[in-house]
Amino acid sequence: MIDPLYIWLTPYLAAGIMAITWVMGIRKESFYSWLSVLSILVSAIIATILTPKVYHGDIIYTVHSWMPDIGVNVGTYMDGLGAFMSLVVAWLSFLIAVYSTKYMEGDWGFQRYFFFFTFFVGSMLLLVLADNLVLLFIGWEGTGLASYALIGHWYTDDEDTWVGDPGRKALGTNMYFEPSHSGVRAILFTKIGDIGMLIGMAGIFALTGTLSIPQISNLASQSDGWMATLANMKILTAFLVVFSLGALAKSAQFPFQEWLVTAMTGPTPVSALIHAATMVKAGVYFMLRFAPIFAVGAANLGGAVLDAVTSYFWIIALLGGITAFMMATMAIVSRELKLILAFSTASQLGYMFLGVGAAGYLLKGAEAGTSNTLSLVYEGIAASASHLMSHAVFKAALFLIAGWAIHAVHSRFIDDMGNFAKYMKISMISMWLAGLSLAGIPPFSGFWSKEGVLHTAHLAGLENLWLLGVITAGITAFYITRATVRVFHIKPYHRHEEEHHLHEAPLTMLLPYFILALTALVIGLAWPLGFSEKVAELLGHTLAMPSAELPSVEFTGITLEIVGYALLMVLFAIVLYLAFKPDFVGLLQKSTTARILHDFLYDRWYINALIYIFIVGGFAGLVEIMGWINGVIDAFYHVAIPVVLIAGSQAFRGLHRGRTDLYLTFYAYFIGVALLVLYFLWG
Amino acid sequence: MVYDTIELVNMSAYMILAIGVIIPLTKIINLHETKLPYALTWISTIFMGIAACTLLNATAANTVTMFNGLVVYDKFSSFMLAITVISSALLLIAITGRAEKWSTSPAYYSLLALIQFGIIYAIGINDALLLLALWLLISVASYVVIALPKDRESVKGSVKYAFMGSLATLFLATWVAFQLFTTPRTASLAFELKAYTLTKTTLLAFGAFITALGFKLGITPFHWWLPDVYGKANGYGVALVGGIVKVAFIAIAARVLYIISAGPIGETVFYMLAAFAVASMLWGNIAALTTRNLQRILAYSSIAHIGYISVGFSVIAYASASGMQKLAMMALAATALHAAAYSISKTPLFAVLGEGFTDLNVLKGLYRRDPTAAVSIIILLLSLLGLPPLLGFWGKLYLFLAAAPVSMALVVIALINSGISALYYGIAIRDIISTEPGEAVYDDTRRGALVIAAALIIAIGLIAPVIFSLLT
Repeated sequence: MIDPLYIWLTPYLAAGIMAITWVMGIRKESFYSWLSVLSILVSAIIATILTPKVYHGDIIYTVHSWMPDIGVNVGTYMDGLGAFMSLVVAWLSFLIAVYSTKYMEGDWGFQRYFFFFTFFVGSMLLLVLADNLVLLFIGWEGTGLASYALIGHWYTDDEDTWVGDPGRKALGTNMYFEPSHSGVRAILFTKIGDIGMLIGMAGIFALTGTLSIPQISNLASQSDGWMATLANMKILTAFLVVFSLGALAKSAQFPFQEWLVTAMTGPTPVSALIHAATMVKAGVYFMLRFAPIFAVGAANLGGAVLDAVTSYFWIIALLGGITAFMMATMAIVSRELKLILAFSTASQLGYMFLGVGAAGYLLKGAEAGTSNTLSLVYEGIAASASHLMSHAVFKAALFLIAGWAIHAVHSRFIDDMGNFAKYMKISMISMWLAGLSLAGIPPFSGFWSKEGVLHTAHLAGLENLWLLGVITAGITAFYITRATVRVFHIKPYHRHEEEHHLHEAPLTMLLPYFILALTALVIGLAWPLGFSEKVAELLGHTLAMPSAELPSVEFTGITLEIVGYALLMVLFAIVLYLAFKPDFVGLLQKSTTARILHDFLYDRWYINALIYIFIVGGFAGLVEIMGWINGVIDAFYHVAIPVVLIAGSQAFRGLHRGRTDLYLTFYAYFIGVALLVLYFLWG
Repeated sequence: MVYDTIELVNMSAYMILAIGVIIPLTKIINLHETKLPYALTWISTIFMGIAACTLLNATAANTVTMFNGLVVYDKFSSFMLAITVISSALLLIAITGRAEKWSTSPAYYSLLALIQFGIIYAIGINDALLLLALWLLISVASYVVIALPKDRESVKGSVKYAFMGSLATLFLATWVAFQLFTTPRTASLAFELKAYTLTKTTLLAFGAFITALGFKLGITPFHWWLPDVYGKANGYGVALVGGIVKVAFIAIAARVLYIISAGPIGETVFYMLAAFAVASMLWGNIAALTTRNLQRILAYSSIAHIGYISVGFSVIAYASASGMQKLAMMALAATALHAAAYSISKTPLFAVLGEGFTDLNVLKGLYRRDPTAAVSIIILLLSLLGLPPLLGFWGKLYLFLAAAPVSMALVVIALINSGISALYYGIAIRDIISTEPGEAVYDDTRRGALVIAAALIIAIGLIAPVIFSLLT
């Protein structure tokens, strides 16, 4: 059997080779692109070969010794979730890599792009297959580093690579972002969360003496284990939230969502891969990995642990629900195609957090050790995982289409796009397939998985969050239809399509997104025909999650109402833009209320501005104070100490004038003093 | 033919004495300006090496007692003797072809051999009267050595040194007199070193001894002669007095303090020595800050270093008084390591700087002109500063570790002082690696002495923890 280690090691090795060949002066583009594509393909194939074994119940776990003293080894842990994630990550990465070979052709940073792209894939696969928190963290930070480098790929900051309207301000804060600035934002926002994750790791290690995830899982349910200890100290909820901060930040959940929006300065395939399909899912993966562990611990221990864990899951669900709704509202008014998709990504990630949170919240009030409730928890977790998969597929497709659209008109604004349907039929079909999946319209994959999440929230009794999720579903249907209609079916607002020689994307770009869009449909069609059972079967071989089913969706009652509502929103958007052709610009000029509402949404609920004013501004104030303190310290070291030392030195040396008589006097004096002190004080 | 330890040591010492006596005769046969005196001194150094090796080997298992207990060697004294051998060799390399050109030739070589003879026995001293005799031998030779180049500063320095050294000798003689009245006597050894009881008389005896020692070693406030002699006289003399003779006196001080402090008096001695240590460190380090003459910087830093070593002395006294045998051994070993670092760095530095080229402006840009010499000097300075993994680091580390259980305040003060010293060593290093033009150049022998010393500082530094554990 092949060691699953190679799933993540192969892209790393390829990235290493690229680094060496770069130093050797090799610059041939095709070498870098195809080495990347091939290495990722190898990973994908190995993951595919190994998955059936996991599917049939064998967890593949290989360990190579590294730091045995603290339970940290190079361990690859391929259970149901690991296999599921590595399949999603590897195959999507492969398709996006193929797309990139054409998209990035002739780019001045081509080799750097593929180095970081491949390094990213290795890190992401390591992250999802690591058996311990240290390895997981290495992969985690590797993805963050690659994300930073790729967001700032065009670090010369030319205006066409920005995000936001140049010159626009909100509450006095700039609302346009250059790639280099965005890269730093991404690092800073996610690092805040990572600190929490490190604190959590340190805490777990302090309590258990290990960082091995399976061992942490085993110890969670013990009556004197780490969860019970923290619950006794009444800090379990806070601890779990702090531990999950990294996941919340990585997956751009409120209040960390801002970095993902401006990450759109990176090349579009990067947005597709890192900021839609994979890296932002790392946070969700973290939740999927640990939620069963926390839930099983809580179910077994009951009492204070159960209360603390359900409180934690409620917080997670709340943050997910808020993010889903908030980001969807921003997408309604956005003028940038990638930005609409970025808002949508954060929003959909919110659904996944809502799903996991609601699943865990099912435990509330449960009797300790009840297996029935646990199976419902597993169901909710599996629903979130399935939404992760379906979202990865349709959102990657949408981003890749956006990449071609932006490339076609050399503009990121949808005002400059329009009537693309005339020139690119397959792209249009792909956009509708992926878009309807996002809108949650049956039979597309997004419908099934979103329904699963909403079903879990409903079951958990989180009615308010469920309602928020339902409303968000309608908003989602609206904004994605708006974007599709404006780009493909109506004339551009600002330019004429004749200005550009519009045509269908080249095959290497077209095929990946067409395949992905089609996959969204195929998965959706296959869902009720046994596909969902297969996904559940695979996920049911996960650490601390020995079985799983996916929620069964029936077209009755509430489900039907939600579908009807989403369909209505799709039709509303179509009719609104195709038939009424409303003059929103004129409306904004006339109506103050409309302008206030628009600006509130367009400026992202002013959250970015508030972060800059209070947090960045606060730190700037702190810097001011520190600068002042630093000045005093500098004066102490650079003025006070030298003055004293120089004066002392000159005084001491002044006594050494070479005069023997003086020296003898000193001798006589000091000898006298010494003897007197001796005689009287101690004698 | 198999010699035993005592025979070998005595034979070596007598051979050295013979060489010391023979060398002046070369003047009679008019060979004093040839390489002969120099070669003879190498032979005397080799005999000293034989004595050191013999003793290192023998004392690894047991102490070696000679002359009915007048002289006793242990691991500490054998190691100190070995340091003086290494430093003698470094001095001889640095001085190659120099002293025979002086009008006083071949006195330098003869006196070097006589000093070596004195050191062999002084280092294992166990009797106050014999100590006085060897003290006189070494001291008088030292005064003369300083004056030998006959330049104005050397002669002035020598006069001051002799003048104030005689005062020190008087105090030592006072102590010897006290010794006769204050210690229990055996029939055979009237002046044998023994533990003191705490009385006013014994305290005065102590005061006399420490004053004499303070003179000799340059401990503040008895250091007045030192900046003029170390800082201004010809470096070849200073290297011998400040780099080699000093190690012998450090060994004597540690030995005597260890023996006579073994009683209630030890704590008092600890406070007195700690106060002197603090004064020396502060005085030396602060005074060194504002001079731009490297020889003078090294002179002041010698005061600071004897301050660090006095920290060791104070711990030796304290541990001996409290019966903390292990701590005493630690302090002795730390003192030995620091003395080694001090001697191996200072001997070649004084020797190559002492004949001109002492101003930092002259040393500017040395790294460009002579990178080998420059890097070697920098390594020696960094070792004096106490940078790991150089030997100087281990010396300070173990001294401070030994002092930590006795007085953290003393350790903190010593650490702060070590920090202050970074300023003047740093300034010197900065000038050496600066790109500004300077004039200093070194010939092969002087560069060789620096390179070997730097290599030793690194090599011994790497095995210092092993040496430390062997000594303890």
